[in-house]
Amino acid sequence: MITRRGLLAGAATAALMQQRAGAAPIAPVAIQRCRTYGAGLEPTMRRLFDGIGGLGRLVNNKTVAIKVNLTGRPSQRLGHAPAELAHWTHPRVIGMAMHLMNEAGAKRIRILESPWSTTDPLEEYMMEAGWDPSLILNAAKKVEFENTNYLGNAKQYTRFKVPNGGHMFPAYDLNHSYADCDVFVSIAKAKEHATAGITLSMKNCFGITPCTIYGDGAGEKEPGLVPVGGRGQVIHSGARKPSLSAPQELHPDSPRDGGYRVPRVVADLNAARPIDLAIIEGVESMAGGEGPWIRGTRRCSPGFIIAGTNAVCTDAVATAVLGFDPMAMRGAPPFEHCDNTLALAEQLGVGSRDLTKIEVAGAQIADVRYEIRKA
Amino acid sequence: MPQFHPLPLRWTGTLPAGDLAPLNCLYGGGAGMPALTGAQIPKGAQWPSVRVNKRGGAEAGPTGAPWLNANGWLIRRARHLEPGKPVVIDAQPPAGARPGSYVLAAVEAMTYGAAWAVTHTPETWPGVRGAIQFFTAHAEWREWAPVAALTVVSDFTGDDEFLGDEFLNLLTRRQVGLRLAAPGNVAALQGAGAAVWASKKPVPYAQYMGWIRSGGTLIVQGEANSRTEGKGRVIGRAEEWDDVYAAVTGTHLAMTRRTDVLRLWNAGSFNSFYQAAPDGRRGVAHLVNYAGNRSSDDTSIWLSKPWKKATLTTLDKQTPLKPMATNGGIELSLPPVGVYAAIELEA
Repeated sequence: MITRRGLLAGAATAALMQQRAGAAPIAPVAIQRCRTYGAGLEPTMRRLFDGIGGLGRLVNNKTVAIKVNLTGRPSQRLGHAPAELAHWTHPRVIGMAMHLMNEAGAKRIRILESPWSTTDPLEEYMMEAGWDPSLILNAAKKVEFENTNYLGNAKQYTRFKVPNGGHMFPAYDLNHSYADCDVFVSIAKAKEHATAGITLSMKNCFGITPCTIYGDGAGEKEPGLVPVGGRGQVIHSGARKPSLSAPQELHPDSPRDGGYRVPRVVADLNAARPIDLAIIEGVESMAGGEGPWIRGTRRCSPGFIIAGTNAVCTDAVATAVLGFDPMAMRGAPPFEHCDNTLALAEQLGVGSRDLTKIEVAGAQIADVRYEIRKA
Repeated sequence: MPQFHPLPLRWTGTLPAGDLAPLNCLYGGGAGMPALTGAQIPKGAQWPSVRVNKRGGAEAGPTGAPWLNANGWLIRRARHLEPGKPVVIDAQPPAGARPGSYVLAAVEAMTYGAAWAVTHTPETWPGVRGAIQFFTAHAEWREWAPVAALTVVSDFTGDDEFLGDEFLNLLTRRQVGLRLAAPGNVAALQGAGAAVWASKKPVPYAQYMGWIRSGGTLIVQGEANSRTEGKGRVIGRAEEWDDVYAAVTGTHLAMTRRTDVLRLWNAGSFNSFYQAAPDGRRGVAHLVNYAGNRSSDDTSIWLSKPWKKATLTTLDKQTPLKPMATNGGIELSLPPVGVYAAIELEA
């Protein structure tokens, strides 16, 4: 339970953090109307990236790591809908982004995700969902996949310190892939989220935490060898600690409430491992939650793609497109039961959520607004 | 191939009232029908169900899929070891077993070509009888070959019993299409793409080299064994074979899901058994729901062969399905499935 005393203390901490972080950076965000994953996707995504100054300046001669959004188990669907038409980023969006990055001179592209409770290679995980990973493999000239839910191909985890202190943890131990890249891209599905209110490019990065350290079955002292279960006990509820080898909570007396904890961890992660390019796909999606395991969820067709080089700005625009106010605080939609991740990331100096300051290219928010709560 | 397929009633004393056809023999000492003879009754059969923990929730494995108390692997092993002898499953309902679970016991056994020694109650008999009649009407399925991506090579007895059994049980749970072969029976691998050596015996590589060099993949324990041979290869897995869960996961990775013949979605409590007629023109994919009731989610199935026509057949009705071509095969959206459904397929 969040008390009045806790709220006041939180506000004071936030003000201090904001002061330390200075003015939150701002970058333009591009929006494109996109109704299908068919032939129109290529010109749409070209226009999208042109709207933020092109991909060349970002990826030319660089190693690009792309965190995709493949949440939940691959054997689970919303009704009969393939995962990509509901809760996963669509492989054609991933493939097209890679194709255009390749064209813009990307040296190497690595596809990253922490698949549910397994050390299986990502390709196998995709096949279990019914995907053909060769479509992604052949989208650019040098493509690699890595399962980041455990140690993976490295000898040790990489420690990412949260600038300006951090809300929940001072630093996070992650798979090497999030360090061994020049450009970090988050390709997310635009959805509501049962715990965090909304899930966009920043919340997608919740999944960069390896469950060998932050999972329900993580090792007590040292990371486990294989990821077991989700992050419910360590991150959502705080019922247990991450492996002791990793940095521990800053405030162990803080609320054991997912609506408090998850947005803070997401903000921390985005400060520690900033997103260089945020792509939010809402061509086809789902309403009412982030996956088929949430009751009352249903398919919807928002019909847009959004991109930007600042994740907070990009998520703020996407939040508005989905019919919410990115400046809303706890208690107001979509943050009825949680804190606003955008505000928490802003406090850490990741970016601004103030729509009056963010330049929008391509379509405007009003042109593509899709009130997901009404879907 | 057994000539007589026993359909036994577990009974002692005077037969219960009512029409007992198509039951044709008695198991347990009753009078009024011939006694069950000549069948093999594998030990260790379980009451088919989703395994439940002390708090009443489904017990799950490392991937979150529920553990099933299933007998399909046991039947397949028994039929492999003594193909001339029909198989009867001796599993009695626990106290408080739901009526639907009696039907589940009957369909599970018959899906895999065996029969359940029927526990008769007036309430459950009509449903069980309907299930037995259904499979009796489709007796030809008993002899259709499994559609397989993998051959499990093991003695399935003696030193190989635990390893072989667990391979069968866990691979079935992963919906891997498989067939069984004895060590040294290279002829059984004719036409097979991959085989796993689930035996404590040393691999007689020389015997298998012809099959491997012509394009076969032999999966064995021990990374050092990996090598290419002609058009095929030996894949040595690093997992300890004593950790059968890890060994089976490693085997599926070695095969890669690219070779899957069947995939299911929203079917955590289901096992499948996929067969084809000898001429390949017809097939059937059985779905057995160990939750024993109507599935709450919309199940989808993918089959690697591009069948032209598909029909969902349950114990009481048939529903045409619309095959959607995808990934070289077809995908089918199924209506909610109860205890059992057969997807009948035509090329």
